[in-house]
Amino acid sequence: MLSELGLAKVHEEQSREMLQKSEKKYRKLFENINEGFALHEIIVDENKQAVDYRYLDVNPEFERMTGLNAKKIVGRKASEVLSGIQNEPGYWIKRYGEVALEGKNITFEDYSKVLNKWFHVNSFSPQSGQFAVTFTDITERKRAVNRLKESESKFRALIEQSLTGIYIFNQDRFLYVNQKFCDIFGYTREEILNKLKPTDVVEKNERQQALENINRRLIGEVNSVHYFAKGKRKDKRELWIEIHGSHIELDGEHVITGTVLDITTQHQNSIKIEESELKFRSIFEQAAVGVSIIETATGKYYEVNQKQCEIVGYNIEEFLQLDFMEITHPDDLNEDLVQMERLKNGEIDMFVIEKRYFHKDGSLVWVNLHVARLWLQGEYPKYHVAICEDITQRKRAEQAIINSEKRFKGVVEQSLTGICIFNNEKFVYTNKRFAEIFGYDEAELLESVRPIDVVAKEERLNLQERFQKGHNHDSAYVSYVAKGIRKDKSSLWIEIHGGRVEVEGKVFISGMVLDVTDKIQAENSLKRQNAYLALLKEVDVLVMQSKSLNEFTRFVLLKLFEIIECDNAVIKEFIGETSSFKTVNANLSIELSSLILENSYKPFSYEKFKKGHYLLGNNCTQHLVHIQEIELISCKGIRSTLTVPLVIQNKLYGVLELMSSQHNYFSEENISFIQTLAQHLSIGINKVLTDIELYEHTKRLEEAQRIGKIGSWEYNIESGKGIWSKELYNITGLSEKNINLGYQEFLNLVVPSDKEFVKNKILDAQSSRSPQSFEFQIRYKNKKNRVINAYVEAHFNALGKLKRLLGLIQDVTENKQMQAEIKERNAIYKMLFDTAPDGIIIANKNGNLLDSNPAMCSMLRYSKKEIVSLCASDIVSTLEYSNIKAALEYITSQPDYYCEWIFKRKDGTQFSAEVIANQLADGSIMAMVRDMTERKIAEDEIKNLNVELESRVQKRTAELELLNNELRAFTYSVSHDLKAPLRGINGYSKLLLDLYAKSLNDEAKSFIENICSGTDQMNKLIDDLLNYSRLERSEINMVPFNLSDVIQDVLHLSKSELVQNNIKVKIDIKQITVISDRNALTIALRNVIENAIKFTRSRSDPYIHIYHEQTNDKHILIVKDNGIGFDMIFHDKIFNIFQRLHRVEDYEGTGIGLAIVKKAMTRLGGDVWAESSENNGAIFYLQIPKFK
Amino acid sequence: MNNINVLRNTILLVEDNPVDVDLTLRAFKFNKLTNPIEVARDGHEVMSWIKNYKKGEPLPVVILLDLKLPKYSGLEVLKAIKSNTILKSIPVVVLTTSSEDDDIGEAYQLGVNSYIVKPVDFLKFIEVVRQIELYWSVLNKTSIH
Repeated sequence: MLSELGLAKVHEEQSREMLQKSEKKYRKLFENINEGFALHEIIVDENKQAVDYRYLDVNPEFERMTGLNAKKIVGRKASEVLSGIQNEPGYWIKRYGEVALEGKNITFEDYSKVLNKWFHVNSFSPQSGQFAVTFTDITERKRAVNRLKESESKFRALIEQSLTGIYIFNQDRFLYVNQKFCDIFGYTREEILNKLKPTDVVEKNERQQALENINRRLIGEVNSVHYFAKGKRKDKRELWIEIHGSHIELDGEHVITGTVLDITTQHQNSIKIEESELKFRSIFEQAAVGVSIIETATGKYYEVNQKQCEIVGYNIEEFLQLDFMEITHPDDLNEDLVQMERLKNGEIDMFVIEKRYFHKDGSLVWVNLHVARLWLQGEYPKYHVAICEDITQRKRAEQAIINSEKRFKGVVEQSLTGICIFNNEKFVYTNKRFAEIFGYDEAELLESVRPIDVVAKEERLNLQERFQKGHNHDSAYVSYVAKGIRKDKSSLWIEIHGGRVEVEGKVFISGMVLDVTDKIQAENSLKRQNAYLALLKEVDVLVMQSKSLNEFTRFVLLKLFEIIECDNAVIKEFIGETSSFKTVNANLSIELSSLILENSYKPFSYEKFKKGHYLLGNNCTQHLVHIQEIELISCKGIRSTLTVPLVIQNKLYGVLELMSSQHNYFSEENISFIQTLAQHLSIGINKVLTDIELYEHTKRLEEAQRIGKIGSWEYNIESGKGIWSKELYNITGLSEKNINLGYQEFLNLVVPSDKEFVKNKILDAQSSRSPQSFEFQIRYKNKKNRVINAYVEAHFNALGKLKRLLGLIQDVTENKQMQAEIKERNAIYKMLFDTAPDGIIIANKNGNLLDSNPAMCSMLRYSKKEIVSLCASDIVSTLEYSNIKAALEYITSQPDYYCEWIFKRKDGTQFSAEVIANQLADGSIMAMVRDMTERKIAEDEIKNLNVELESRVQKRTAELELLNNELRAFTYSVSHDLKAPLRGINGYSKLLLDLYAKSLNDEAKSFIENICSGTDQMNKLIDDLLNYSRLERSEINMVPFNLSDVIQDVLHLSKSELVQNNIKVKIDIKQITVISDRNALTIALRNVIENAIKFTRSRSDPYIHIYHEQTNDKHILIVKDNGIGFDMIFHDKIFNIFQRLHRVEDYEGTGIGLAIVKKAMTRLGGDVWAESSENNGAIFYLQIPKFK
Repeated sequence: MNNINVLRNTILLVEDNPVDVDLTLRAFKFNKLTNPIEVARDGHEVMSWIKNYKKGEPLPVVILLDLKLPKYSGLEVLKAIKSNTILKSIPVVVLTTSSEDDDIGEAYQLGVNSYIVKPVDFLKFIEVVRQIELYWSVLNKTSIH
């Protein structure tokens, strides 16, 4: 800063010098009239205002100065020469105007932008209207002065505003201080410049030193000083200052100039730093990381902390003798040094390396080392710091991983397991073994094989799904066995263990693949063998369980199918007589089962089958010689067949035939198994067949016993045990379960009265050694005793000792009963036969008479003895001979042969008789004969009577019809002719009341009203009578209709009355269809309802309940009310016409209503009745018959 | 001979019973019916009128016909009217005491336009006549008055 000030001073001097020189030069030029000169004529406008001027003359200097050529400008206007002059700020034209027109003399300095020059201008008017101008180019001068001015003001501002205190002083006093200097020491500038000595601003103790410093400079001993001192402010406060000072000679005087910095704050900071360093040191000492400060040039440890010692195993003293190169592992040293070099060169500020130290005990210590410089940029690299962390443990772990990886890699590369890493599209890694497994070379796999190419088609989707799952983290690890495909397209079984791996952010599947083909094949084979064994066992079990051959073979085929996946299996039986095969049972396809390849078997010969040879057609058609069968088989899609014989006791029972749609389906293993199976099957079939035979035999025996009600028993004397046949239990009524069957138990069943007898008989059988038959009774549960026919036989051993008793027991109860019944019935029949009024005759098939009853004998007038010697033709008229033959034929096939024949008596007389003939159980024919002579007479009488009756009925009907018509005409007339006058009476009464009301007194009016009500009553009576008669007359028309509809119709008619009288009606009728006369039923119901309304309306809470009941043949519609009811003694009367129980004034009515009901119900085949008691309501029952 | 004098808008009443005739006329009067009313006292009269009717002569606007008439029954008269090509267009209302199903059925079979049972009660009778009037006016869509 001071030097800048100095520089400024120098500049100023130079400028001033230049200015003086320039002035001299210009004066000389002026004196030599070498200034620019120009004479002009002013041009004015109409207002005498100068607007332009014209050049009249210029000198060469003017030309030089202005660069204008005299020839070009003289005589021309300024505005033409100096375009833009009008716009010049000085506006010379105006000034020149003043000079030329007013005679003024002006001098000025001005700048011409046009010429870019400063001019000193002197202008005067040589004559009016003209002006002369002398120009002096002062551009250079102007510029120098301006530069000086600029520079000084710049420096002054700089110094004044400097943050550094700046001073200039001589030995005694301050010559200059800037504002900052004043601020530092707290004085004003005047105080400093006028009152203070330079040393006053330093602390007393420092003043001597300061003075010396000043003098040293002043005497030129040193040019500049730099020191720290304690300063003193005006307010006596002390402050730390940093002083730079230098000596200059200013205007011939030796002065000191320099700068002062207030470093009090820094000083205080440095104290703080010292404190901080202490703290740092303790951290340094106790740090958990090793910290060492190292001499950069030598690598010697300068300072180390405790931890650093621990890491490497040296104590501090030892350490400080070391350099870092000594304890660094040679392999790591080079990098360390390279980095150190860069650090020293300032390329880097710090570096981090991992390296190994030698521990004092010789072991290696891994450290993570941070090295940083401790010098400032540009300083000499003295120390650096190294912070190290013991990472031996980590390193060991890492090393372990590396070793492991190496090992792994080795394992992977040389593994017997195929290993691959792949994504959805390709393999990214495979080991050698993997390639070998699939028959590729490794490079080929990575380049051109997709992962799905190495698995069987059916596995591909699966693989992709698994990949996708793995990719989506759905499953982390999979392990499964799949079918693989080699390069040569052969398949193999592989066991895959797959897992998801992420490599550089991409997801792959890593897989381990084992070729388990052998294992799987072995396993499958084992499985099959096990399955075969299991099947064979099962077949043996099935034999025991099956109840029929069909069941057994069906089971076997089913089981076989579970193991051998062929398309059909058939068991065929060989029919020896026809040398053909018959299907016993087949699986799946019935169509296929019917394929009998016997034509193809023939050349093979059944003999070979018998010897156990099988017939194999693995390429189907090979063994089939019969062309049609080949076609048949082919068109069913069969490609392999295997026919294994079923041989039972050296006889060909049949064959087991298997078919498959695959070529070469039957392997040796299959065949050997099927042969074994066939053996078991044969044995099984034999057993089942034998069992069935045995079973059927036993069944037949049981059945025989059951039918014959014969039970058998055996009693073993030695063991004391007995065996009872099934039927014996039935006979005795005992349960098979709970009886200990012994001789005694059997005896207990015998009724007491027969017990002794039975014992004796059994003893007889033993003693006489001959079988005994006898009959006795046993108790049968709690029911009637049973009659038993027994047969007992005793068996002896060789020594003649009784070995066992055998017996047959037959329940003859029914037989006995039947015998008794037959006896009884015979007696009855005999009696019937003997006493029957009709003749009974019995003949054989040939018509020979065998028997006849007394009635027959008397009819024919033969004795019984005579009759049995006759034949049928002997007792009938010759007219009937042909009929007899026909009758005999008819009778043998159908019962109840009926005819009327003419019989011939012994005396030759004839009579006609009805005959009913039937065949008897023994084949003979029984005919019942009834003499029709008398009946014929009766019939004739009836006929005559009927004719008479008919005519009578007709006559009567005609009479009735006439009557009916009369009645109709009568009622018709009644209705019209009675009503017409009635209408007149009513009409005129009403007219009287209407037209002559004024002339009539109240009594007269009431008379007339009585007349009216009389006509009303009579009108009703007529209507009811008409209805009643109409019911009688009208035809009944049976139609089906809904009962509810009728009820609704009737209630609708009475609606206003029901509402008016507040009568509740409840209807409990479902949808019931009746067949009846709807009209009649409606009339009946209407009258019943009107009745109910009439007799309930006086009650407080009147109601009518309509409901329905039915029996098999009738509906009953019930109307119940809570009206006044009636005494049941009047029950029958109320249904009589004109019968009333009440006075008209109490309950209006004609007395016809219920008569109508009765009539209507009777007409439609039903009935009506009622139940009631006085004051307890009434129930009316309308019974309607059901028609089917 | 034609005893029946039919004018424009005439109502022809066929009724033998003088009381009924009188009451009917009164009932018309009650209903303020002003049409001329011609009364035929038996079936014979009507039959004659039918027989002698010439085309162009005025027709009654409605015929009220009792069934039980001397000489020719109402049903016979009805049959004659409805068999005549010109007269069959006249609306015929049977007005009778009979409520026999046979009568009603036959009347409708013969083409009667309406069948009304004469009530005994005079007030009801007036009501019936009013209904005839209503029926007729609806039929012709012109006022009877």
